[in-house]
Amino acid sequence: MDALKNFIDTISSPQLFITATIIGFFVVMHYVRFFTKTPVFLTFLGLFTTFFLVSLTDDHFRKIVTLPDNVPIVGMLFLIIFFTWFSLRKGVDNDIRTEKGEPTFEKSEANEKLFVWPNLVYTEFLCMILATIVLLIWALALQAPLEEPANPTISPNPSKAPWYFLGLQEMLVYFDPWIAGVVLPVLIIVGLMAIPYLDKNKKGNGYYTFKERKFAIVSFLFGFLVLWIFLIVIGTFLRGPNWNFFGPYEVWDVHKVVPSVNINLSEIIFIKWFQTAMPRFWFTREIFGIILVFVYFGLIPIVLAKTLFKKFFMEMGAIRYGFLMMLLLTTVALPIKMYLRWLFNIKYIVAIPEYFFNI
Amino acid sequence: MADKKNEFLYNTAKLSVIFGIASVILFLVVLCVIVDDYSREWKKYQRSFNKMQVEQTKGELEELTKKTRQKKMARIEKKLKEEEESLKEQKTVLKEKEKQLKQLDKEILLLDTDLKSQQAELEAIKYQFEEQRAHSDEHLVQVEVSQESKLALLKEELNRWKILVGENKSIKGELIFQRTTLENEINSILENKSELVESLALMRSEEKRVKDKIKNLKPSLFNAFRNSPMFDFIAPTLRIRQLVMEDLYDDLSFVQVPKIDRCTTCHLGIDLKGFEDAPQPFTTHPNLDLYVSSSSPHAMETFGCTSCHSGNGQAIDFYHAGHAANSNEQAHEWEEKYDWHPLKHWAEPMLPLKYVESSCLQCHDQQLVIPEAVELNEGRQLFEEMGCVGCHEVKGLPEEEIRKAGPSLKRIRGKVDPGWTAKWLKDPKSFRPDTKMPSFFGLSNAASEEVEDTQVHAIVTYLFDQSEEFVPEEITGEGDAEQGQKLVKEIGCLGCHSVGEDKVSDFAPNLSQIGSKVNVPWLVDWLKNPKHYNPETSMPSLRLTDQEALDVAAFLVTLKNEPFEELAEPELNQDALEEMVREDLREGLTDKQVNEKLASMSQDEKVVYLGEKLTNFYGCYACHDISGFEDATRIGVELTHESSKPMEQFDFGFVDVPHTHQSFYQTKIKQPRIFDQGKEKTRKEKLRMPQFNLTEDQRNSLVTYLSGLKVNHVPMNRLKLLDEQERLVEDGKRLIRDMNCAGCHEVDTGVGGDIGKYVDDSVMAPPSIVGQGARVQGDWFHEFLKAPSEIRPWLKTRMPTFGFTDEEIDVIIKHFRAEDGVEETFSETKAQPTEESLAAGALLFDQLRCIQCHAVTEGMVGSSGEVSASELAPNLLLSRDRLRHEWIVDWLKNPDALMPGTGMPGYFPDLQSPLPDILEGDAMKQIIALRDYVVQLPEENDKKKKK
Amino acid sequence: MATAPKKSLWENFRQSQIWKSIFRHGKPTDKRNRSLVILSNVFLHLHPVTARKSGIRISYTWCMGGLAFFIFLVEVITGVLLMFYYRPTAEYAFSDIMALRDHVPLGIMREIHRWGAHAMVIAVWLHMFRVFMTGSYKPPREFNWNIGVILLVLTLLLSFTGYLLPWDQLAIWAITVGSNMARATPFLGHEGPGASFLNIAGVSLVHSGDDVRFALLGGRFVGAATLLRFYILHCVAIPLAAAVLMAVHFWRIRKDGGISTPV
Repeated sequence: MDALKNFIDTISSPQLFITATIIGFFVVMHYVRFFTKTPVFLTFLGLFTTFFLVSLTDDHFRKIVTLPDNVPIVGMLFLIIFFTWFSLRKGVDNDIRTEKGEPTFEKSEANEKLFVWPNLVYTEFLCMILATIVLLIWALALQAPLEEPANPTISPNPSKAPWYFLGLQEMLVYFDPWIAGVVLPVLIIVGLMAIPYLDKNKKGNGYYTFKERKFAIVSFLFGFLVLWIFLIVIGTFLRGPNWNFFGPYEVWDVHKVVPSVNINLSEIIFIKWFQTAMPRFWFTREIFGIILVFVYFGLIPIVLAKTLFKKFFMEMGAIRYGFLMMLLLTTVALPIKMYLRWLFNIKYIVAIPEYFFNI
Repeated sequence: MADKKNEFLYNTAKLSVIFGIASVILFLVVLCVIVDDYSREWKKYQRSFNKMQVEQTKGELEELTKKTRQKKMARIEKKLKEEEESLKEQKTVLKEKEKQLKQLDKEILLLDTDLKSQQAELEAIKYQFEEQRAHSDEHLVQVEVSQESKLALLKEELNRWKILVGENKSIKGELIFQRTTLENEINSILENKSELVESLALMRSEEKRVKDKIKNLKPSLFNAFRNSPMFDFIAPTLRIRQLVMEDLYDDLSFVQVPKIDRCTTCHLGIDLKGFEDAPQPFTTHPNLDLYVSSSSPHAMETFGCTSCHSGNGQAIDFYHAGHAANSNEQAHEWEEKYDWHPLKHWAEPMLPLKYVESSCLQCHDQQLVIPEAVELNEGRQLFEEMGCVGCHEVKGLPEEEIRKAGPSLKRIRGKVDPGWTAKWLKDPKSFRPDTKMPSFFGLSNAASEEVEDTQVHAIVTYLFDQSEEFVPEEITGEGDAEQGQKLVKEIGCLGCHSVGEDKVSDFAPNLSQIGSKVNVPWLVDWLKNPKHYNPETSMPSLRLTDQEALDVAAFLVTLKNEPFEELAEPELNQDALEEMVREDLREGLTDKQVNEKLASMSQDEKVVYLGEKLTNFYGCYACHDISGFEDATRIGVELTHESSKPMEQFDFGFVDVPHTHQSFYQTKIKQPRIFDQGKEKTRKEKLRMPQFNLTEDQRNSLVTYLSGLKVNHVPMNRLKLLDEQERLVEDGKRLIRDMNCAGCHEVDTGVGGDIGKYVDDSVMAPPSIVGQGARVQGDWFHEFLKAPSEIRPWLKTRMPTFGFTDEEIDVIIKHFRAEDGVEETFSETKAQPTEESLAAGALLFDQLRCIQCHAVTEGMVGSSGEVSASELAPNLLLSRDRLRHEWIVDWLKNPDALMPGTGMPGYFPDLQSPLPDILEGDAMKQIIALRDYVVQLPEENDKKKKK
Repeated sequence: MATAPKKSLWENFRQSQIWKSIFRHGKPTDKRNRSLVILSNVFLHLHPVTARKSGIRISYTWCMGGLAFFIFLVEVITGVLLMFYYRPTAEYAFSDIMALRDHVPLGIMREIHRWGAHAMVIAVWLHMFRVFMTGSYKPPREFNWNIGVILLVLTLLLSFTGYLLPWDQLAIWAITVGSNMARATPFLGHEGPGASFLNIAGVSLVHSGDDVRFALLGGRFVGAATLLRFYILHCVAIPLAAAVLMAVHFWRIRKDGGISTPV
């Protein structure tokens, strides 16, 4: 049993786990028709639940998971899995119907009107009662946590932000606080707000589909599922004292020392490659990093506009396209930064501590 | 199209079923919420306590209704009936009087009503008059005639009313007087009747009160309603009890919250007598007269519970209150009974009961010996005596008054040889098992035997290198061991030292192996005059003659510890030495410089250099005076607020013990190096606290003291502040403890005087100094302490010369006088004898045959020759200057009261004089006469000598 | 004349003036009354009288929006009840919460409020997820989607400010970590990029005493001022803002053609 546990602990190191998740995400997106089949989903759900219940026997795993504040996250995880499948499945069903030429479910009922009383009101009323029951049972079962009185001089280790910000706190490992703490949240909000104005696709309004809005759904799900929900799960269950990474069964030991000496790009270039001392003036020191960033944000959109996203560019017009590309590139920048960290131990691409400006 | 609208999306019947089920579940869940909210742990306890109280009050009721009380009640009722018959004849007289009474009341009432209205009129007129007068005075100049006459008219009107009201008032007074006399007459007739009724009523009310109490506690429908959910806010019998203290605060990490203790919600019988053997949580608090009851100095209402027991007073369930198990068994028991586990997330859980005395320190820290706090006092004393205070600073302890725990090493060369010292330092317990000297080497985190031997060798070499020369005084002559042994047993060495099995106190070292330690010349010099070798030693001199010193030395030298002598001396390991010296040199020097330095140092220089570094590293100067380390800083962590330090700052390493302050102290004291276990540390980083080998209760009392070292939140007005008298008593206590007076003298009733067991007769033992302040005069006491003079010549144990400084003597005298409440006066009140009392005194002195025991002239021991030792008593010539004259009177009155078990007979049992003819048999006068006579004995003696 | 059939008490009461003044419609069994029941009640008129079938299906809407709103109401009710017992000062905050846990009758309100908060955050995310998957943000509902995003942010802020109120270690350090990010805001945070540029004649305009973090916390560290500030935000400011925006949100749903259905 321990061998299995150690094995799971090792494979759940961030590199492997996140890579596997990203790859898994795109595979599921590609073969969505297969994966949303009910038996396939049920086997996946069954496997996941058995894995969860079996690992509950491990007392460290149980200690973390049954923390009063972590129980809602487990609940959320199951809900998210179910609803993702449910919406994709309805989308796939509608796609199949449209391929056969039949109207989608929603279309077939679109113009039938029903009295709100009792139809809608009754179901809503039932939802309310069920919700109250769930809340009351939850309140009865779990006592709200109350730790020592607030003591500004003793900071618990690890001290975590509320669970819904753990995704951002996870990004703090890879980015400078001003990006992870301010720029990313702003971009998330602005990005969400911009979706209706960026998505010119007329189809898919008012009914589940997948094929007709493939690009929009994949990019949204990547942002929401992988970068938000999944990072919350990692931040809650797999991040322990000193924000070290701990496997699901690994005991959170404050003294764990993980050798991680990260260096900036400028150090690699000047010391490793050129073997010269680092220049004093920040601009000459960081010139390469700056160029790299400009290339990434400046050159790539232009090249793509000419090649792959030509159709998008024509449809959306320059401003919308530029804005969309900026958002997409930032979203993709997150995993890229992670890999730069894991593979080359790069801390910052551009490091100008004099002005607190690091990317 | 239209009617399609009526169609239902979902089959409402199915929906209704779901609705039905859902609302039933919702109802049940809401019910669960109410039940969960209602069923609280403390209600269970209150119900079972109510049952216990009902039984107890039923017991009370039985007493009340016992046969004896019943008979008494019957008798009273019978008497009452007789009384009523006797009243019958006087019925007519009674009725007549009552009629008159009513009549009088009516008249008074009538008069009263008129009087009231007249009074009102009077006031109105007075107002107008005053107004008018004031008005007219203002404009004195142009007073018109009309205003003048108006004023006169009003004045006249005012007088008229005054007279009228005066008359009515006097009539009323008259009527009231008549009424009261009449009333008294009636009462006197009915007097014993009402008395009987009253006593009867009292008995019945007593029963009624108890019955009511039962009714209130007994489970009944009404009580059930009062406690039912949703109605239990009206007047529940089961309710939370709390104590709110105005000026005491709980500290919730830097925030002061008014202290509210709700412990009595479950501990219901804590302040009620009669529940001493009730099961927990209802047991009564031990010794109620000192704690908890409202009359005790620590009343529950003003102190609460958590000020002593700490823990979370506001919580009302077993776990959240922070109960701490007193032992592992109790912990297991609680785990089953209350599924208890140590409280997480709370800074100060409750103190386990065996450490609860530590809370006394918060208010009583000014008292050296806190009454009733035995463990704490012993802990505090250990903290100083064992030398902990040498390494660990505790602010608030009087630094300058605390002596160093170990002997001075400044002149070690004169006392012992390096070989012995090395073996001793390596393992002190092998030489003297019950020594206070802790062991530094051979502990759990020791590097290796070679390294440790080299360290011992280096330290000893350094000590002998820094030691001054000491040449003992040359005393020639042969010592006789038996005589020495007899002397040691008799002159008082056993007061402090223990020799072989004779063990009185472990104040000073056990001498059973002294022979293998010191050489004779040093020993003789030391016995003659200890301060010659070490000026600050607390070892007093017993004024031994040369021969006596030689005899004692000869005897002591025979006490050997052969196995220790055969032990091999720890040798030097060259490369261990090099390695350690290099390590010390490396601080501040580059490797190149270190090598040069090392090469330049000779072998001795290396050893001495290392020895000095190690003396500093192990902190030997904490307990021993070593020249060069007079003002070295303490090496241990400061412990002033150790028990307020958060648990995160305690490094438990890999040792699996509960994470509480107390368990850290226990583990650390038991095995100081244990927390290094499993850690990779360089020599300098290793823990260096030595091993003290304390017994179990010594450890408990030391941990009790350490648990009391907290940040103190007690406001000034709640601290036990010592007044002037108590302050003087406290100052003296420390000195008396440090000089171990209790070794020979009985310092407090039943405390000290242990040497007495080596003497067959209590008269031969050192006298008790209880009440010494009232007994002796200040100046005499001062001289005596400076250079003890002989009072009881037959005593073998000698009062040693301690070499006190004048301030020290002053402190001791003030201590004793303050303890007995003797005011500080410049001169003692002397007796002024009159001729007549002197004559009577002489007569009494002869008739009571005082001479039989008391000598009256110098050098005479009991005039009538062979008198059993027990009858000998001090020479009375000394009394004039030695004893306080008021004390002699008290002494003669009742000697046994002042010194229980004294040989002096009580001549005046409860102040009845045995010789009625002198001074008309007035005992007091006779005692004073005797005292006057005794006090003038020296003058009489001089007169006789002159003749 | 056959006497009129004796009406039951209940029917008489149903005809009484009192009843009629409250319920301006008969039993909602026929078309007229079913529409009247909606039209005559301000709360029910949140819904249209009739709606398209696909929009009503629970498998389409998951009732997430309704749930989020319902939990918001639960939060308001339990929140008000808790406000009776909670004093937002550094001295009393913790002991009041402890009192709620220990001896205040129906202290379970605190649990309902806390778990309700988590539930509401999850419900709001799932509602966003459903609206996105059904493409209901497409014209004409773009504005309403933005209102939704703002409401999402407000929900997170509500939960964030509420997290501090128990004033225990979990709370103070979660908020400290959360607010530490604010000091790195570009230009407005004293440790953010560009802050050092904003100084006039050597006097730095943005420092730890006046940057956005200071504004958020009401001080340089999470202290009693923060507790009070977060209390007011949590109990008054944000709920009001959320309520107003919800009204706009509901209004826009109705105006933009009810639950989205294929056009």
